Amino acid sequence: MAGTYTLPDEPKPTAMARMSTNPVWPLLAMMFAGTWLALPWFAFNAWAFGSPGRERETAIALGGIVALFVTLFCIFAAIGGGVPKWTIPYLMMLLTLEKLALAYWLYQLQVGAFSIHAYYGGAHFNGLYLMLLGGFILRPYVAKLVDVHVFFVALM
Amino acid sequence: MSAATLHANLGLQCLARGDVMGAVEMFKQSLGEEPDNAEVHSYLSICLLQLKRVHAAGVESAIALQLDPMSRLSLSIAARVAIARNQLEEAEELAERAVAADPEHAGPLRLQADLCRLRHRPTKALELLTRARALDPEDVDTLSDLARIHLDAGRLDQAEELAREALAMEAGDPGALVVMGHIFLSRGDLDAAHDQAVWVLSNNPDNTRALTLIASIKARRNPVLGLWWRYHTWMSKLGQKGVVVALLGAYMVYRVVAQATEDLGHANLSEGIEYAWLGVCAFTWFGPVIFKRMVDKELGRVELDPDF
Repeated sequence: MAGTYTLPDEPKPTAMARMSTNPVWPLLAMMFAGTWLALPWFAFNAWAFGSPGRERETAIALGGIVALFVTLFCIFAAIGGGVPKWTIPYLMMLLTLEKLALAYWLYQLQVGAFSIHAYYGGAHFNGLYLMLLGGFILRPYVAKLVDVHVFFVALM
Repeated sequence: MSAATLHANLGLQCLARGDVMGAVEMFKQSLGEEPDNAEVHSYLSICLLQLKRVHAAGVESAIALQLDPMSRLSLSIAARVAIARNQLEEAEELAERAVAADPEHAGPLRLQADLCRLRHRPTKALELLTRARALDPEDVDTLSDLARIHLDAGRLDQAEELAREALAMEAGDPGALVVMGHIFLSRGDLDAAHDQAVWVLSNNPDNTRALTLIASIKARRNPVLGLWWRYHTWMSKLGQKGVVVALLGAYMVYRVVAQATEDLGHANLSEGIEYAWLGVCAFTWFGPVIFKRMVDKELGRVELDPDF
């Protein structure tokens, strides 16, 4: 009996496929809600629709969170080291840049395989609602973590 | 005839009539039955390239090359993949090997000419295509490519002469029709250009060059969307990584300028910059949506050829 030939960029959907979404929503979640929602969502999405690069994407998402904390630590160290006060907003822009770069990177990695998944009628849901929920309802609660420790800015 | 050969032939038929996804499925079935067929891996790679699935196309062409390292087809496809990855030096080396593998075939010379066009060496491209034409004077694709070289150089009369020659040989050749369309577009005859694109699309609904032509016509008719089209064309040339770097760079420039103007006491200017950025975001968000709708509407009017 003939075997099935699988192309290297084809997703292998799991039982959680219906919980997957177009990666444009985690990308927008990074802008409207924050890292706390976007990066774990990217990682979950990779496993849900069976992205061929799911291990790598998960590593980037988790490593990205660590990298954001490291960047924030370096910025605070620089501020503590006595850089002029006017430079602080510019230094904080580095954090924004890093967040956006991570989100675009993960989006680019996932969008091709997700398109194939959707083209073949793979189950997925509209991520708009979760993005809106995260960005406009949950975000203020998560923002309270900053009061606990300023390092939680990395997750916003 | 084995099932693998049957599926491969069906795949080629699908490919010939422009059903690329159907061709992928047929080639996959063929490879499921006979995994070591270099030719089928190459054809699958061609399909994947057309679908912009460059990574998978690269894997397939590498397998084909491993199975048959001296084949003109495997080498040519590997060169096409290298072009898609913007690895032009590697593509040149592979194209040279393809020419050496079959010096009497016009295809690899056309491939080399394509590379020369990409590297802005039109004279060399012209020379290669002239050699290809000498090898196979009846090859319509070579004539279309020659016409395109003249079109790029602004020699519209010569381009038209060659395109008409190609059309005299094969009346519905999509390459020659698209070149004719661009010639009309360059002369400002938008309706005639539109007719050429529609003619191609009636037989090849997913012909990328005809779709690009119809989009260019739309862009010419609407200056605001035309601006977006030019911006989009420029961005596409940067590749995926380049686009991300350009977008992030633009964002950072905007943020720094907005912050700096505020720090320097120009709060109104800073506010203006914020609104300008918002405008750019809205334009780049809605531009493609409106543009796509307009092109879709245009395509909805295209009547498919009864033989399609």
